[in-house]
Amino acid sequence: MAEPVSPTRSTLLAKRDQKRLALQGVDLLKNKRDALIGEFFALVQDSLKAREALNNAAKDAYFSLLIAKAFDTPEAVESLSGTPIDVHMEVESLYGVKVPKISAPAPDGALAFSPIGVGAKTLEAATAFRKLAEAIVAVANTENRLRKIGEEIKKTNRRVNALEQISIPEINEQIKFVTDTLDQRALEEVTTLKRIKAAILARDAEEQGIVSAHIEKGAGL
Amino acid sequence: MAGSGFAYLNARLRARRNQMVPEAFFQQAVGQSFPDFVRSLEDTVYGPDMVGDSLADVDRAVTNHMQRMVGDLPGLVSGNMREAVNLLLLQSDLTNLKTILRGKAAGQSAEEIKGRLVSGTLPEVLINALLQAPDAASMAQVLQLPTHPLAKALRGAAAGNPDALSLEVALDRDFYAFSLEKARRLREPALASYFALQVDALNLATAFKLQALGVGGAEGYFVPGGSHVNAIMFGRVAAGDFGAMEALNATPLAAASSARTLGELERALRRALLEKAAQGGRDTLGAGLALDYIRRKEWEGARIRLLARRAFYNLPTDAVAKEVA
Repeated sequence: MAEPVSPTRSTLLAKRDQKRLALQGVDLLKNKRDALIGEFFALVQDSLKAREALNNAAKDAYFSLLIAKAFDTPEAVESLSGTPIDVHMEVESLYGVKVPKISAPAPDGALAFSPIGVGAKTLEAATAFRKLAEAIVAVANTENRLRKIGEEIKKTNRRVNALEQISIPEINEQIKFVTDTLDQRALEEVTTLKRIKAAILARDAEEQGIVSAHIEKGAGL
Repeated sequence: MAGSGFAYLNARLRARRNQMVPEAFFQQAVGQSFPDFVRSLEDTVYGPDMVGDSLADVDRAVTNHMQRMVGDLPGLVSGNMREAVNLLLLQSDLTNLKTILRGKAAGQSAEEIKGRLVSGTLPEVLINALLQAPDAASMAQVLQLPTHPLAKALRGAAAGNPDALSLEVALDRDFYAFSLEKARRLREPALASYFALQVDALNLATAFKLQALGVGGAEGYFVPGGSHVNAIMFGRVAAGDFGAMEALNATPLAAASSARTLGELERALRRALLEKAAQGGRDTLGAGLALDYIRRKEWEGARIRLLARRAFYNLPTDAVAKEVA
Protein backbone atom coordinates (compact mmCIF):
# COMPACT_ATOMS: atom_id res chain seq x y z
CA MET A 1 0.00 0.00 0.00
CA ALA A 2 1.35 3.39 -0.92
CA GLU A 3 2.70 5.63 1.84
CA PRO A 4 0.28 8.54 2.54
CA VAL A 5 1.54 11.82 1.12
CA SER A 6 0.27 15.37 1.36
CA PRO A 7 -1.37 16.27 -1.93
CA THR A 8 0.51 19.45 -2.72
CA ARG A 9 2.20 20.69 -5.83
CA SER A 10 5.64 20.55 -4.15
CA THR A 11 5.00 16.90 -3.24
CA LEU A 12 4.06 16.22 -6.84
CA LEU A 13 7.31 17.80 -8.04
CA ALA A 14 9.31 15.84 -5.44
CA LYS A 15 7.61 12.57 -6.40
CA ARG A 16 8.27 13.19 -10.09
CA ASP A 17 11.98 13.77 -9.25
CA GLN A 18 11.92 10.61 -7.19
CA LYS A 19 10.45 8.64 -10.09
CA ARG A 20 13.10 9.97 -12.48
CA LEU A 21 15.81 8.97 -9.99
CA ALA A 22 14.29 5.52 -9.54
CA LEU A 23 14.21 4.95 -13.31
CA GLN A 24 17.83 6.08 -13.58
CA GLY A 25 18.70 3.71 -10.69
CA VAL A 26 17.00 0.81 -12.47
CA ASP A 27 19.02 1.51 -15.61
CA LEU A 28 22.27 1.75 -13.64
CA LEU A 29 21.53 -1.41 -11.66
CA LYS A 30 20.66 -3.30 -14.83
CA ASN A 31 23.97 -2.21 -16.37
CA LYS A 32 25.81 -3.26 -13.21
CA ARG A 33 24.04 -6.64 -13.22
CA ASP A 34 24.94 -7.22 -16.87
CA ALA A 35 28.58 -6.36 -16.18
CA LEU A 36 28.64 -8.66 -13.14
CA ILE A 37 27.06 -11.50 -15.13
CA GLY A 38 29.78 -11.05 -17.78
CA GLU A 39 32.46 -11.17 -15.07
CA PHE A 40 30.74 -14.18 -13.46
CA PHE A 41 30.81 -16.23 -16.67
CA ALA A 42 34.44 -15.27 -17.34
CA LEU A 43 35.30 -16.46 -13.82
CA VAL A 44 33.36 -19.71 -14.21
CA GLN A 45 35.92 -20.86 -16.79
CA ASP A 46 38.81 -19.95 -14.46
CA SER A 47 37.06 -21.68 -11.62
CA LEU A 48 36.53 -24.89 -13.59
CA LYS A 49 40.20 -24.87 -14.62
CA ALA A 50 41.28 -24.26 -11.01
CA ARG A 51 39.04 -27.15 -9.83
CA GLU A 52 40.53 -29.48 -12.42
CA ALA A 53 44.05 -28.41 -11.42
CA LEU A 54 43.12 -29.05 -7.78
CA ASN A 55 41.84 -32.54 -8.56
CA ASN A 56 45.02 -33.39 -10.47
CA ALA A 57 47.24 -31.91 -7.75
CA ALA A 58 45.33 -33.86 -5.08
CA LYS A 59 45.68 -37.09 -7.06
CA ASP A 60 49.46 -36.56 -7.44
CA ALA A 61 49.92 -35.48 -3.84
CA TYR A 62 48.04 -38.40 -2.30
CA PHE A 63 49.74 -40.90 -4.61
CA SER A 64 53.14 -39.47 -3.57
CA LEU A 65 52.06 -39.61 0.07
CA LEU A 66 51.08 -43.27 -0.17
CA ILE A 67 54.42 -44.15 -1.74
CA ALA A 68 56.32 -42.01 0.80
CA LYS A 69 54.53 -43.65 3.72
CA ALA A 70 55.42 -47.06 2.33
CA PHE A 71 59.12 -46.25 1.97
CA ASP A 72 59.78 -43.99 4.95
CA THR A 73 57.16 -45.37 7.41
CA PRO A 74 53.83 -43.58 8.04
CA GLU A 75 55.01 -42.13 11.37
CA ALA A 76 58.18 -40.57 9.94
CA VAL A 77 56.25 -38.97 7.08
CA GLU A 78 53.47 -37.68 9.34
CA SER A 79 56.05 -36.11 11.66
CA LEU A 80 56.97 -33.74 8.81
CA SER A 81 53.43 -32.42 8.49
CA GLY A 82 52.16 -29.22 10.04
CA THR A 83 54.30 -26.69 8.18
CA PRO A 84 51.89 -23.80 7.54
CA ILE A 85 51.71 -22.06 4.18
CA ASP A 86 51.57 -18.26 4.17
CA VAL A 87 49.03 -16.60 1.90
CA HIS A 88 48.69 -12.98 0.79
CA MET A 89 45.21 -11.56 1.00
CA GLU A 90 43.93 -8.26 -0.30
CA VAL A 91 40.50 -6.85 -1.06
CA GLU A 92 39.71 -5.65 -4.58
CA SER A 93 36.76 -3.59 -5.71
CA LEU A 94 34.97 -5.05 -8.72
CA TYR A 95 32.09 -2.80 -9.90
CA GLY A 96 31.77 -1.71 -6.31
CA VAL A 97 31.79 -5.29 -4.99
CA LYS A 98 34.49 -6.03 -2.42
CA VAL A 99 36.08 -9.33 -3.50
CA PRO A 100 39.02 -11.02 -1.77
CA LYS A 101 42.18 -11.74 -3.76
CA ILE A 102 44.13 -14.63 -2.21
CA SER A 103 47.54 -15.72 -3.49
CA ALA A 104 50.27 -18.03 -2.25
CA PRO A 105 53.76 -16.56 -2.55
CA ALA A 106 56.13 -18.43 -4.87
CA PRO A 107 58.41 -20.81 -2.95
CA ASP A 108 61.59 -18.95 -2.01
CA GLY A 109 63.70 -22.14 -1.80
CA ALA A 110 63.51 -22.16 1.98
CA LEU A 111 63.28 -25.69 3.37
CA ALA A 112 60.77 -26.73 6.02
CA PHE A 113 62.92 -29.65 7.16
CA SER A 114 66.40 -31.07 6.69
CA PRO A 115 66.72 -32.79 3.30
CA ILE A 116 69.62 -34.98 4.43
CA GLY A 117 67.93 -38.02 5.89
CA VAL A 118 64.57 -37.59 4.23
CA GLY A 119 63.63 -40.08 1.50
CA ALA A 120 63.17 -38.91 -2.06
CA LYS A 121 59.55 -40.07 -1.99
CA THR A 122 58.84 -38.00 1.09
CA LEU A 123 60.41 -34.97 -0.53
CA GLU A 124 58.34 -35.59 -3.67
CA ALA A 125 55.24 -35.82 -1.47
CA ALA A 126 56.17 -32.56 0.30
CA THR A 127 56.60 -30.83 -3.08
CA ALA A 128 53.33 -32.32 -4.36
CA PHE A 129 51.51 -31.13 -1.23
CA ARG A 130 52.97 -27.65 -1.65
CA LYS A 131 51.47 -27.65 -5.18
CA LEU A 132 48.20 -28.95 -3.74
CA ALA A 133 48.14 -26.11 -1.20
CA GLU A 134 48.72 -23.62 -4.04
CA ALA A 135 45.90 -25.24 -6.04
CA ILE A 136 43.60 -24.97 -3.00
CA VAL A 137 44.47 -21.27 -2.68
CA ALA A 138 43.74 -20.78 -6.42
CA VAL A 139 40.35 -22.51 -6.05
CA ALA A 140 39.58 -20.51 -2.89
CA ASN A 141 40.43 -17.35 -4.81
CA THR A 142 38.24 -18.01 -7.86
CA GLU A 143 35.35 -19.65 -6.00
CA ASN A 144 35.25 -16.92 -3.36
CA ARG A 145 35.15 -14.26 -6.08
CA LEU A 146 32.50 -16.27 -7.88
CA ARG A 147 30.39 -16.55 -4.73
CA LYS A 148 30.75 -12.85 -3.93
CA ILE A 149 29.84 -11.85 -7.50
CA GLY A 150 26.93 -14.32 -7.50
CA GLU A 151 25.63 -12.84 -4.25
CA GLU A 152 26.00 -9.34 -5.69
CA ILE A 153 24.10 -10.33 -8.85
CA LYS A 154 21.28 -11.68 -6.69
CA LYS A 155 21.32 -8.54 -4.57
CA THR A 156 21.29 -6.29 -7.65
CA ASN A 157 18.46 -8.32 -9.14
CA ARG A 158 16.48 -7.95 -5.94
CA ARG A 159 17.08 -4.18 -6.01
CA VAL A 160 15.98 -3.92 -9.66
CA ASN A 161 12.87 -5.96 -8.90
CA ALA A 162 12.13 -3.87 -5.81
CA LEU A 163 12.43 -0.67 -7.80
CA GLU A 164 10.43 -1.96 -10.77
CA GLN A 165 7.76 -3.87 -8.86
CA ILE A 166 7.37 -1.84 -5.68
CA SER A 167 9.02 1.58 -5.53
CA ILE A 168 8.18 2.89 -8.99
CA PRO A 169 4.53 1.67 -8.95
CA GLU A 170 4.20 3.20 -5.47
CA ILE A 171 5.57 6.52 -6.66
CA ASN A 172 3.28 6.33 -9.68
CA GLU A 173 0.33 5.74 -7.38
CA GLN A 174 1.35 8.67 -5.19
CA ILE A 175 1.78 10.90 -8.23
CA LYS A 176 -1.66 9.83 -9.45
CA PHE A 177 -3.17 10.52 -6.03
CA VAL A 178 -1.58 13.97 -5.80
CA THR A 179 -2.53 14.81 -9.40
CA ASP A 180 -6.12 13.65 -8.88
CA THR A 181 -6.43 15.58 -5.65
CA LEU A 182 -4.96 18.72 -7.19
CA ASP A 183 -7.30 18.39 -10.21
CA GLN A 184 -10.26 17.90 -7.92
CA ARG A 185 -9.29 20.99 -5.93
CA ALA A 186 -8.85 23.02 -9.12
CA LEU A 187 -12.29 21.96 -10.30
CA GLU A 188 -13.84 22.86 -6.96
CA GLU A 189 -12.09 26.20 -7.08
CA VAL A 190 -13.44 26.94 -10.56
CA THR A 191 -16.97 26.02 -9.47
CA THR A 192 -16.75 28.21 -6.38
CA LEU A 193 -15.45 31.13 -8.46
CA LYS A 194 -18.27 30.67 -10.94
CA ARG A 195 -20.84 30.71 -8.16
CA ILE A 196 -19.28 33.82 -6.65
CA LYS A 197 -19.27 35.48 -10.06
CA ALA A 198 -22.96 34.60 -10.58
CA ALA A 199 -23.84 35.90 -7.13
CA ILE A 200 -22.04 39.19 -7.85
CA LEU A 201 -23.82 39.57 -11.21
CA ALA A 202 -27.19 38.83 -9.60
CA ARG A 203 -26.63 41.41 -6.88
CA ASP A 204 -25.55 44.07 -9.45
CA ALA A 205 -28.63 43.35 -11.60
CA GLU A 206 -30.96 43.60 -8.66
CA GLU A 207 -29.47 46.96 -7.69
CA GLN A 208 -29.91 48.27 -11.25
CA GLY A 209 -33.34 46.70 -11.70
CA ILE A 210 -32.28 44.59 -14.65
CA VAL A 211 -34.15 41.43 -15.13
CA SER A 212 -32.12 38.83 -17.06
CA ALA A 213 -33.04 35.27 -17.66
CA HIS A 214 -29.35 34.42 -17.97
CA ILE A 215 -28.63 35.96 -14.57
CA GLU A 216 -31.66 34.35 -13.02
CA LYS A 217 -30.56 31.03 -14.41
CA GLY A 218 -26.96 31.53 -13.30
CA ALA A 219 -28.10 32.54 -9.82
CA GLY A 220 -29.89 29.29 -9.50
CA LEU A 221 -26.65 27.33 -9.76
CA MET B 1 86.42 -58.08 14.18
CA ALA B 2 84.63 -59.00 17.37
CA GLY B 3 85.17 -62.74 16.93
CA SER B 4 83.09 -65.51 18.43
CA GLY B 5 80.87 -63.11 20.44
CA PHE B 6 78.70 -62.79 17.35
CA ALA B 7 78.37 -66.55 16.92
CA TYR B 8 75.10 -66.83 18.88
CA LEU B 9 73.58 -63.73 17.28
CA ASN B 10 74.60 -64.84 13.81
CA ALA B 11 73.17 -68.32 14.34
CA ARG B 12 69.85 -66.74 15.34
CA LEU B 13 70.05 -64.39 12.38
CA ARG B 14 70.63 -67.25 9.93
CA ALA B 15 67.53 -68.96 11.27
CA ARG B 16 65.50 -65.74 10.96
CA ARG B 17 66.86 -65.06 7.49
CA ASN B 18 65.37 -68.35 6.33
CA GLN B 19 61.96 -67.15 7.50
CA MET B 20 62.01 -64.00 5.40
CA VAL B 21 59.15 -63.44 2.96
CA PRO B 22 60.05 -65.18 -0.33
CA GLU B 23 60.48 -63.21 -3.55
CA ALA B 24 57.57 -65.11 -5.11
CA PHE B 25 55.22 -63.44 -2.60
CA PHE B 26 56.11 -59.96 -3.91
CA GLN B 27 55.79 -61.00 -7.55
CA GLN B 28 52.37 -62.49 -6.87
CA ALA B 29 51.20 -59.62 -4.63
CA VAL B 30 51.66 -56.97 -7.36
CA GLY B 31 48.41 -58.07 -9.02
CA GLN B 32 46.35 -59.09 -5.97
CA SER B 33 43.25 -57.47 -4.50
CA PHE B 34 43.54 -56.17 -0.93
CA PRO B 35 41.66 -59.08 0.76
CA ASP B 36 43.80 -61.58 -1.20
CA PHE B 37 46.94 -59.66 -0.25
CA VAL B 38 46.01 -59.74 3.45
CA ARG B 39 45.29 -63.48 3.23
CA SER B 40 48.67 -64.07 1.54
CA LEU B 41 50.43 -61.96 4.17
CA GLU B 42 48.79 -63.95 6.96
CA ASP B 43 50.43 -67.08 5.51
CA THR B 44 53.90 -65.54 5.90
CA VAL B 45 56.03 -64.81 8.94
CA TYR B 46 53.91 -61.65 9.42
CA GLY B 47 50.85 -63.80 10.20
CA PRO B 48 51.17 -63.67 14.03
CA ASP B 49 51.41 -59.86 13.88
CA MET B 50 48.22 -59.41 11.82
CA VAL B 51 45.30 -58.54 14.08
CA GLY B 52 42.83 -57.15 11.53
CA ASP B 53 42.32 -56.76 7.82
CA SER B 54 42.61 -53.01 7.24
CA LEU B 55 45.52 -51.03 5.79
CA ALA B 56 46.33 -49.63 9.25
CA ASP B 57 46.47 -53.23 10.53
CA VAL B 58 49.01 -54.12 7.83
CA ASP B 59 51.13 -51.08 8.82
CA ARG B 60 50.85 -52.04 12.48
CA ALA B 61 51.79 -55.64 11.69
CA VAL B 62 54.90 -54.49 9.82
CA THR B 63 55.93 -52.21 12.72
CA ASN B 64 55.28 -54.91 15.35
CA HIS B 65 57.04 -57.55 13.28
CA MET B 66 60.10 -55.32 12.86
CA GLN B 67 60.12 -54.65 16.58
CA ARG B 68 59.84 -58.37 17.31
CA MET B 69 62.37 -59.60 14.76
CA VAL B 70 64.88 -56.73 14.78
CA GLY B 71 64.29 -54.78 18.01
CA ASP B 72 65.56 -57.63 20.18
CA LEU B 73 68.85 -58.11 18.33
CA PRO B 74 71.00 -55.80 20.56
CA GLY B 75 69.85 -57.84 23.58
CA LEU B 76 71.37 -61.00 22.10
CA VAL B 77 74.93 -59.62 22.41
CA SER B 78 76.79 -57.44 24.88
CA GLY B 79 79.56 -54.85 25.09
CA ASN B 80 81.01 -53.52 21.86
CA MET B 81 78.98 -56.01 19.85
CA ARG B 82 75.77 -54.60 21.29
CA GLU B 83 76.97 -51.11 20.38
CA ALA B 84 77.66 -52.29 16.84
CA VAL B 85 74.16 -53.75 16.46
CA ASN B 86 72.61 -50.72 18.14
CA LEU B 87 74.36 -48.52 15.62
CA LEU B 88 72.25 -50.12 12.90
CA LEU B 89 69.04 -49.21 14.71
CA LEU B 90 69.89 -45.62 15.60
CA GLN B 91 68.25 -44.30 12.44
CA SER B 92 64.84 -44.75 14.12
CA ASP B 93 66.05 -42.84 17.19
CA LEU B 94 67.23 -40.01 14.94
CA THR B 95 63.80 -39.93 13.27
CA ASN B 96 62.15 -39.84 16.71
CA LEU B 97 64.44 -37.07 17.96
CA LYS B 98 63.62 -34.95 14.93
CA THR B 99 59.90 -35.69 15.35
CA ILE B 100 60.07 -34.51 18.98
CA LEU B 101 62.04 -31.38 18.05
CA ARG B 102 59.61 -30.54 15.21
CA GLY B 103 56.59 -31.24 17.38
CA LYS B 104 57.88 -28.99 20.15
CA ALA B 105 58.68 -26.23 17.65
CA ALA B 106 55.13 -26.51 16.26
CA GLY B 107 53.64 -26.42 19.77
CA GLN B 108 52.15 -29.94 19.58
CA SER B 109 51.14 -31.79 22.73
CA ALA B 110 53.28 -34.64 24.11
CA GLU B 111 50.53 -37.16 23.25
CA GLU B 112 50.31 -35.88 19.70
CA ILE B 113 54.09 -36.17 19.25
CA LYS B 114 54.15 -39.62 20.84
CA GLY B 115 51.63 -40.88 18.29
CA ARG B 116 54.11 -40.11 15.53
CA LEU B 117 57.12 -41.92 16.98
CA VAL B 118 58.53 -45.09 15.44
CA SER B 119 59.90 -47.96 17.48
CA GLY B 120 63.58 -47.39 18.18
CA THR B 121 66.14 -48.28 20.82
CA LEU B 122 65.05 -45.61 23.33
CA PRO B 123 62.99 -46.94 26.25
CA GLU B 124 59.59 -45.36 26.92
CA VAL B 125 60.75 -43.67 30.13
CA LEU B 126 63.45 -41.85 28.17
CA ILE B 127 60.99 -40.88 25.45
CA ASN B 128 58.71 -39.38 28.12
CA ALA B 129 61.64 -37.46 29.62
CA LEU B 130 62.54 -36.15 26.14
CA LEU B 131 58.95 -35.05 25.60
CA GLN B 132 59.02 -33.14 28.88
CA ALA B 133 62.39 -31.44 28.17
CA PRO B 134 61.87 -27.75 27.35
CA ASP B 135 64.52 -27.40 24.61
CA ALA B 136 67.11 -29.23 22.51
CA ALA B 137 69.92 -28.66 25.02
CA SER B 138 67.81 -30.22 27.79
CA MET B 139 66.99 -33.15 25.49
CA ALA B 140 70.72 -33.69 24.95
CA GLN B 141 71.17 -33.77 28.73
CA VAL B 142 68.38 -36.34 29.09
CA LEU B 143 70.10 -38.53 26.50
CA GLN B 144 73.49 -37.95 28.12
CA LEU B 145 72.40 -39.72 31.32
CA PRO B 146 72.17 -43.19 29.77
CA THR B 147 75.11 -42.22 27.47
CA HIS B 148 73.04 -42.53 24.32
CA PRO B 149 75.19 -42.16 21.19
CA LEU B 150 72.88 -39.52 19.75
CA ALA B 151 73.48 -37.22 22.76
CA LYS B 152 76.80 -36.02 21.30
CA ALA B 153 75.20 -35.25 17.96
CA LEU B 154 72.29 -33.43 19.59
CA ARG B 155 74.52 -31.46 21.96
CA GLY B 156 76.73 -30.37 19.07
CA ALA B 157 73.72 -29.47 16.93
CA ALA B 158 72.00 -27.50 19.71
CA ALA B 159 75.09 -25.39 20.47
CA GLY B 160 74.52 -21.71 19.69
CA ASN B 161 70.72 -22.01 19.89
CA PRO B 162 70.11 -22.43 16.12
CA ASP B 163 66.71 -22.25 14.42
CA ALA B 164 64.69 -25.46 13.87
CA LEU B 165 66.00 -26.14 10.33
CA SER B 166 69.67 -25.51 11.20
CA LEU B 167 69.28 -27.74 14.24
CA GLU B 168 67.86 -30.57 12.12
CA VAL B 169 70.55 -30.23 9.46
CA ALA B 170 73.31 -30.17 12.09
CA LEU B 171 71.77 -33.18 13.84
CA ASP B 172 71.60 -35.15 10.57
CA ARG B 173 75.18 -34.26 9.63
CA ASP B 174 76.54 -35.07 13.08
CA PHE B 175 74.55 -38.29 13.30
CA TYR B 176 75.81 -39.77 10.02
CA ALA B 177 79.39 -38.58 10.62
CA PHE B 178 79.20 -40.01 14.13
CA SER B 179 77.81 -43.39 12.97
CA LEU B 180 80.66 -43.74 10.48
CA GLU B 181 83.28 -42.76 13.06
CA LYS B 182 81.77 -45.14 15.63
CA ALA B 183 81.70 -48.06 13.16
CA ARG B 184 85.40 -47.47 12.41
CA ARG B 185 86.20 -47.25 16.13
CA LEU B 186 84.40 -50.54 16.81
CA ARG B 187 86.68 -52.22 14.25
CA GLU B 188 83.76 -53.57 12.28
CA PRO B 189 84.96 -53.37 8.65
CA ALA B 190 81.63 -54.45 7.16
CA LEU B 191 79.81 -51.77 9.13
CA ALA B 192 82.45 -49.11 8.46
CA SER B 193 82.45 -49.66 4.71
CA TYR B 194 78.65 -49.77 4.65
CA PHE B 195 78.32 -46.51 6.58
CA ALA B 196 80.94 -44.87 4.34
CA LEU B 197 78.87 -45.88 1.30
CA GLN B 198 75.71 -44.72 3.06
CA VAL B 199 77.30 -41.29 3.62
CA ASP B 200 78.18 -41.16 -0.11
CA ALA B 201 74.62 -42.16 -1.03
CA LEU B 202 73.20 -39.57 1.35
CA ASN B 203 75.40 -36.84 -0.07
CA LEU B 204 74.47 -37.74 -3.63
CA ALA B 205 70.76 -37.83 -2.79
CA THR B 206 71.00 -34.56 -0.86
CA ALA B 207 72.77 -32.88 -3.81
CA PHE B 208 69.95 -34.03 -6.12
CA LYS B 209 67.32 -32.79 -3.67
CA LEU B 210 69.02 -29.38 -3.32
CA GLN B 211 69.28 -29.12 -7.10
CA ALA B 212 65.59 -30.05 -7.53
CA LEU B 213 64.49 -27.60 -4.85
CA GLY B 214 66.80 -24.82 -6.05
CA VAL B 215 68.35 -24.37 -2.61
CA GLY B 216 71.62 -22.46 -2.41
CA GLY B 217 74.47 -22.83 0.11
CA ALA B 218 74.90 -26.55 -0.62
CA GLU B 219 78.13 -26.89 1.37
CA GLY B 220 76.13 -26.61 4.62
CA TYR B 221 74.42 -29.93 3.85
CA PHE B 222 77.51 -32.03 3.02
CA VAL B 223 78.19 -34.92 5.41
CA PRO B 224 81.93 -35.59 5.64
CA GLY B 225 83.48 -39.06 5.79
CA GLY B 226 82.34 -40.71 2.54
CA SER B 227 84.76 -42.52 0.23
CA HIS B 228 83.58 -41.62 -3.25
CA VAL B 229 81.60 -38.37 -3.11
CA ASN B 230 83.69 -35.40 -2.03
CA ALA B 231 82.57 -31.85 -1.28
CA ILE B 232 83.52 -30.66 -4.79
CA MET B 233 81.45 -33.32 -6.55
CA PHE B 234 78.61 -32.63 -4.09
CA GLY B 235 78.69 -28.92 -4.89
CA ARG B 236 78.78 -29.55 -8.65
CA VAL B 237 75.84 -31.98 -8.57
CA ALA B 238 73.87 -29.63 -6.32
CA ALA B 239 74.50 -26.90 -8.91
CA GLY B 240 73.08 -29.15 -11.67
CA ASP B 241 76.37 -30.40 -13.17
CA PHE B 242 75.49 -34.13 -13.37
CA GLY B 243 78.60 -34.79 -15.48
CA ALA B 244 80.53 -34.71 -12.20
CA MET B 245 79.00 -38.11 -11.38
CA GLU B 246 81.07 -39.80 -14.11
CA ALA B 247 83.80 -40.12 -11.49
CA LEU B 248 81.56 -42.70 -9.78
CA ASN B 249 81.81 -45.16 -12.71
CA ALA B 250 84.42 -47.39 -11.11
CA THR B 251 82.83 -47.37 -7.66
CA PRO B 252 80.00 -49.31 -6.01
CA LEU B 253 77.81 -46.32 -6.90
CA ALA B 254 78.40 -46.79 -10.66
CA ALA B 255 74.71 -47.54 -11.28
CA ALA B 256 73.80 -44.15 -9.82
CA SER B 257 76.13 -42.22 -12.15
CA SER B 258 73.62 -42.29 -15.03
CA ALA B 259 70.66 -41.21 -12.87
CA ARG B 260 69.22 -37.83 -13.78
CA THR B 261 66.13 -37.75 -11.58
CA LEU B 262 65.78 -38.19 -7.84
CA GLY B 263 63.59 -41.29 -8.34
CA GLU B 264 66.16 -43.02 -10.57
CA LEU B 265 68.93 -42.05 -8.20
CA GLU B 266 67.11 -43.40 -5.17
CA ARG B 267 66.43 -46.74 -6.86
CA ALA B 268 70.10 -47.05 -7.90
CA LEU B 269 71.35 -46.05 -4.44
CA ARG B 270 68.96 -48.48 -2.75
CA ARG B 271 70.29 -51.33 -4.89
CA ALA B 272 73.90 -50.32 -4.20
CA LEU B 273 73.32 -50.14 -0.43
CA LEU B 274 71.45 -53.48 -0.35
CA GLU B 275 74.29 -55.08 -2.32
CA LYS B 276 76.81 -53.61 0.09
CA ALA B 277 74.82 -54.88 3.06
CA ALA B 278 74.59 -58.31 1.38
CA GLN B 279 78.41 -58.36 1.15
CA GLY B 280 78.35 -57.91 4.94
CA GLY B 281 76.27 -61.08 5.07
CA ARG B 282 79.44 -63.00 4.30
CA ASP B 283 81.04 -61.60 7.48
CA THR B 284 80.20 -64.64 9.59
CA LEU B 285 82.17 -63.52 12.64
CA GLY B 286 81.20 -59.83 12.72
CA ALA B 287 78.18 -57.51 12.67
CA GLY B 288 77.90 -57.79 8.86
CA LEU B 289 75.23 -60.47 9.05
CA ALA B 290 73.14 -58.27 11.38
CA LEU B 291 73.62 -55.37 8.96
CA ASP B 292 72.44 -57.47 6.02
CA TYR B 293 69.47 -58.88 7.95
CA ILE B 294 68.29 -55.50 9.30
CA ARG B 295 68.52 -53.76 5.93
CA ARG B 296 66.76 -56.66 4.20
CA LYS B 297 63.99 -56.60 6.79
CA GLU B 298 63.60 -52.83 6.38
CA TRP B 299 63.30 -53.24 2.61
CA GLU B 300 60.89 -56.15 3.08
CA GLY B 301 58.69 -53.96 5.35
CA ALA B 302 58.76 -51.10 2.84
CA ARG B 303 57.74 -53.43 -0.02
CA ILE B 304 54.87 -54.89 2.02
CA ARG B 305 53.59 -51.42 2.94
CA LEU B 306 53.83 -50.35 -0.70
CA LEU B 307 52.06 -53.44 -2.05
CA ALA B 308 49.37 -53.11 0.62
CA ARG B 309 48.72 -49.55 -0.55
CA ARG B 310 48.67 -50.61 -4.18
CA ALA B 311 46.08 -53.26 -3.42
CA PHE B 312 44.03 -51.06 -1.06
CA TYR B 313 43.87 -47.97 -3.29
CA ASN B 314 44.06 -49.92 -6.56
CA LEU B 315 47.13 -47.94 -7.64
CA PRO B 316 48.66 -48.47 -11.11
CA THR B 317 50.55 -51.77 -11.04
CA ASP B 318 53.35 -50.56 -13.33
CA ALA B 319 54.34 -47.64 -11.09
CA VAL B 320 54.44 -49.86 -8.00
CA ALA B 321 56.13 -52.85 -9.70
CA LYS B 322 58.99 -50.54 -10.75
CA GLU B 323 59.51 -49.51 -7.12
CA VAL B 324 59.36 -52.95 -5.53
CA ALA B 325 61.56 -54.67 -8.11
